[in-house]
Amino acid sequence: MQELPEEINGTPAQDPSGPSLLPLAACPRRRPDVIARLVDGETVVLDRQAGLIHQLNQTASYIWARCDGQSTITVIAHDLAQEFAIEPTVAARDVRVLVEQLQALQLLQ
Amino acid sequence: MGESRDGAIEEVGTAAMRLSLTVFGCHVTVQCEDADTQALLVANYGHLHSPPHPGDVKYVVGRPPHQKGTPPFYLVRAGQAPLMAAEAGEFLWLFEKDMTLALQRLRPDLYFMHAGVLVFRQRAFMLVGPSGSGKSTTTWGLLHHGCSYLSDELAAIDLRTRDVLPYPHAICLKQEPPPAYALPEQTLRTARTLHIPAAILPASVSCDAAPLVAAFFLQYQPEASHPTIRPLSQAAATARLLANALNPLAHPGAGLDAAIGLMSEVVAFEIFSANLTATCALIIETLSRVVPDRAYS
Repeated sequence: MQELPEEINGTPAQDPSGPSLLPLAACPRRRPDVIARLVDGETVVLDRQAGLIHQLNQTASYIWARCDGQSTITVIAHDLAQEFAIEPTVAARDVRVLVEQLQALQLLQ
Repeated sequence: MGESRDGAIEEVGTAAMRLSLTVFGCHVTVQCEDADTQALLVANYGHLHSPPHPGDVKYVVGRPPHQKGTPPFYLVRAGQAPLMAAEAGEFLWLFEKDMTLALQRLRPDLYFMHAGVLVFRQRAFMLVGPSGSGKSTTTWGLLHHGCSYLSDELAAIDLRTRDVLPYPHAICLKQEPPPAYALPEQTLRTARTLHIPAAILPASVSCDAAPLVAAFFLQYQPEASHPTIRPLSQAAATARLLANALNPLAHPGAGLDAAIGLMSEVVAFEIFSANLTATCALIIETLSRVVPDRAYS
């Protein structure tokens, strides 16, 4: 049996302490072998290698979809701010935090 | 003992010691080489008994002549090495596990879930969760609250129709339920488990497939004073369903696509169970809203 799902939110509960390790010019890319499906505005990601299932909320789903290896964090944040009508600084923080989460979960190349 | 020669099983004994079952449309024949083993299997699978037929899955089971250090039960499936069990509970567990794997191979079209299934107003609902989450105890409790019994521990879903197929074997509990739900005298008690045959359940046993309408994902919280419930989004329900699927790789998208399809048609809830009576009442109340009376008129 695979692990129970963990929900990945696009917004952190509090500001992360310390500087992010990810440069704004980084172009995050989804791992091609993970299976992901959009389900009613959220995304379910199946990582068979790790035996884990992840559930991304609406914001995280947007960011995940943009992790195409061609869009920089800056661009993703800008587009997120426009799409969801949020402050650019908040969007930038959210994208960085989420991408770092995805990286820590080894869902990115 | 039926010797395994070149993958074949040489049958011994009389037809009276042969048990024929039909499970998910597959035929299982069991040659029982002693009356005790046969009685165990009849108690657990009596409702699945069918007329004799060539089996899709064949077993020889029994108890070898007593020798010091020899396990008291054996189970042999055609072409497989014998499995040994120290006592009745372990024997039943091994048989159930092996038969479940064999059935999954024979019916890869079905979506197998680690779940209990009951029927309410002619509609099926699942209790889903890992071992220890209280599925079987809650199943037993709900049989005292107007539900019919479809299966315990294993749900087989036909993805074309969304029907859950019946598998009314004995309900298996790991511990005694609360006094208000005391077990019948004829309960089979082994060293590790309690088995309530379908024939002595306090409710009707459903032998027909029923369409799935709801799924309750259980988490047991013994320290809580009362149960709580919350609806799940389709994505959350899909992820939880997939996590409890037994044969996801037999389906496209490693089972994810089938899970999405199922949860698009089924309402799902997460229930933190506590007191059994209150938990059952909460489930029934929720089902009464999900499956109105007119649904089966």
